[in-house]
Amino acid sequence: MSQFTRKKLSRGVKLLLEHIYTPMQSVATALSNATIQPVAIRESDTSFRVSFWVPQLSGYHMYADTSVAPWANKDGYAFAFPFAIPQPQNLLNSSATINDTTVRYTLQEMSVSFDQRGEPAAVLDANNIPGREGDISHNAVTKLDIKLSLLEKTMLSYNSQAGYEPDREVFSATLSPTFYAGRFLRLNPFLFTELNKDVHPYKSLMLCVQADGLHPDALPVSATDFWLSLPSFMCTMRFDCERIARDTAADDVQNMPAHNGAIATSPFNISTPSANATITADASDGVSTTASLFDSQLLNKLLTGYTKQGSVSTHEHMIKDSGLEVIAVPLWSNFSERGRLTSGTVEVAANVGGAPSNGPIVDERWIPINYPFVIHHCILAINYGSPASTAQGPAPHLPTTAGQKPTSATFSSDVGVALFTGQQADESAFQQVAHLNYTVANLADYTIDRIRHSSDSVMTNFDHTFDLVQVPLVNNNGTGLRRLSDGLEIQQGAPVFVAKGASTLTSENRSQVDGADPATKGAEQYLVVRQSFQDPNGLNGTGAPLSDNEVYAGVGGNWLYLIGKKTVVGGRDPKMTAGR
Amino acid sequence: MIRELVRRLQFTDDTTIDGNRLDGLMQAFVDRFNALTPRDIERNWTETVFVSGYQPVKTGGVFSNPILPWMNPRNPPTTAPIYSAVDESLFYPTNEYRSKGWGLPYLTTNIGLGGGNYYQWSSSFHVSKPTIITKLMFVMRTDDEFTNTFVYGANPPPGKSDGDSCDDFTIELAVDNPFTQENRSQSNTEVLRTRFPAAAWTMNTDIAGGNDMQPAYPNTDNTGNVRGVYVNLDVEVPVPQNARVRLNLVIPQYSGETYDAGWGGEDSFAKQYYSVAVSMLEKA
Repeated sequence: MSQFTRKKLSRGVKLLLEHIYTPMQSVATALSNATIQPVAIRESDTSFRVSFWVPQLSGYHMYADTSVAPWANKDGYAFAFPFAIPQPQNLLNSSATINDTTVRYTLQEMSVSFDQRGEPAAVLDANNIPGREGDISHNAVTKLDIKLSLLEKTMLSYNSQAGYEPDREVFSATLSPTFYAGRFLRLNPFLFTELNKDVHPYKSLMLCVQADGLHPDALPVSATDFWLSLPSFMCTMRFDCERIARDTAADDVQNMPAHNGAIATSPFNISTPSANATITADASDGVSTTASLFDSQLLNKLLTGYTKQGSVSTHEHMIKDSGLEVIAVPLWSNFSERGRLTSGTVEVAANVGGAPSNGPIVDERWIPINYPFVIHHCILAINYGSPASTAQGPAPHLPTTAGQKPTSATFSSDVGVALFTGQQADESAFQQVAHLNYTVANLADYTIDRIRHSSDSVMTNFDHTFDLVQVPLVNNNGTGLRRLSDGLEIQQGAPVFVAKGASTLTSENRSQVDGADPATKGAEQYLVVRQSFQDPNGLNGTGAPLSDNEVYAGVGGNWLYLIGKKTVVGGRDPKMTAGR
Repeated sequence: MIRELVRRLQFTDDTTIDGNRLDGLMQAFVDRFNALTPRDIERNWTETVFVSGYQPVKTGGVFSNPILPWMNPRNPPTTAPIYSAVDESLFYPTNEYRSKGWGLPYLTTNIGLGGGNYYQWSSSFHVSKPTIITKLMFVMRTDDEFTNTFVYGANPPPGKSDGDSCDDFTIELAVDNPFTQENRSQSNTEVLRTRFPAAAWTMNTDIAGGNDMQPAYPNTDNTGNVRGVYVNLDVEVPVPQNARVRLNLVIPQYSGETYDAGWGGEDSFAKQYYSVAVSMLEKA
């Protein structure tokens, strides 16, 4: 369906205004009112990525010191990365009904890479011959058989009977060892393109990576049979997403600049001859003169989107300029030689204190703010995956039972997201964006889904491996609270605008955050994500380290997802006249 | 007048005119505005951010640190290069140097495969369409437990003084040569930051009123809770389609305290913890 139409000029009919000027006027009106629709833009979809970039996928982390018998259950183990992409707050349908306003997205690309030291070889993990971690083996490259699958699962928040296992495979592929063994060509990174896999917008997703060649064929390891690792593993998935309108005053966005997302317009006027007047070429209202105005407009480019500083242009032309954005932030990844933060390993965490390891311990990530972004949801994936071990390898050994959830009534974890300003600056400050304190007692109140990768999973000793938990955005004195679904009483504040602004002096007119003027004064430079664990009775479980396997962050770590809207990187700063 | 963008037709007084030409013009006009192209729109890109990082554990504990993802930036051809005698390759090394620009004049690069004087964290990704890398960030965070001061000590390297800011780590963004993708010596270094003082990238820790976020950071010595080095580079690197992009981070290892620096004498990768980010613009 085209936005602009015209009446055909049939042979022999009188040339009328409607043949020439009606379509021109309709385009001029759309330019004046900034109502050019996405349908009028070739390749109008925006794109976003979900990227999992971890220090390593380690065979020793995953398979521990257990024996060959459990390894035989290949499907029982998987590095898994569950996530969800809830609809933006203003488009969220409480019953998960897909309608005309639902944002649809499609998996288009998947890129997979890891470090091979620039050689056609596999990299040795820890726990081979001491001192050889990071060495390479050319023979062992034949064991790099990597299976990838993106799975979809009905969320428990929309259907409490959905169970814990994925219900559809969106995409899967196997990366053969031959990809990595060539002297002159290695497919690392490898890229799958033009996948065109439709994804259900109200379901949870999970990327699974199975690489059972990372463990030796038998223990103990030998000079030809190793623990292997995939260092600096990255899997990035690019999704196409249809354009949606950006947030405006009606959305109560926190930390919003004074422009409130309003689209400024500028009149684009053409002269139209009077009825029955002779249609000319070069007169002020002639065909040639009028058409040249459109030429000039296209030469000057059409404007849309926010500028880098989060400002709007003096005028714009498009009615929709936004798409989805997901930033995946790893927390507690690559923790210790055993790759997991549990009651057994917590004693080596920084700041944990002496036994019984009360904490708080904090992991923190910094994310630079480059272009504007509106945070609509924060989702935390809590990973309990901690396969059982035995006493076959070198001490200290992990428990012989697989991972379980923390049980201490005094245990708690804090997850927070904040804006920060302060680098090369006169002042510095944090502004809280989202925060959740969860305990054993209240975790279920914030849980939107529970997932395990298959019925064969040996990652935990209970029926799921991950909790997907909503971390509520701060709110303005209880106003504008939005729920993720009718089925849950999880409430959170309105979206939070993020843009680095120009300075704390020129950007102080942001709207309130959490009921007060933003501490960062519209000049935020970083997003800061933290997760802490603490327990006044000790994080080391029963007080006897290694006696149980209570998991705070399993193999692969926890993940915090910042989900929201981003505009296309566009606009034109009024001060910027060249070199833009 | 020639319609450059709408249609290359001439409509002026005294030129011939017929209905077919006018009809063609108007069809071209509505077609043009029904299918606006990227060149019609000012900067029609979307941003994406890749984020990684991790926190090592306390050294000397029951459980040790993994060294990975940090590895030697060099694949030396002579010194016990490969894991065992039964595992040899006629082709080794295909890339003796895995990245460029990281060597320090006072710290030899002639080092073994497993350990050595440098550690490199190397990551890569593949882009199918033209993109622009706009930001590289490498945060090395410290606190009371992660103790790198990023300052040379009493036995500094030649040319440095006690108390000088460390300038011994490297950030490189490279794009593989499209014709010799596996030859790192032919990679195109797009961004290289090396020998710059860490002090240029320390954070302002003057947080008014001790303001912190939730959860608060453990801060036992009241010297500020955002210590460390926050390298945050604004770059503009156009990347062609079907390119392989590599980010290489290299830090020094003054094994046996050859020289005195905040990195310490061993496990320099465990003296701070990490946030790494790459921002990239893609076609919308």
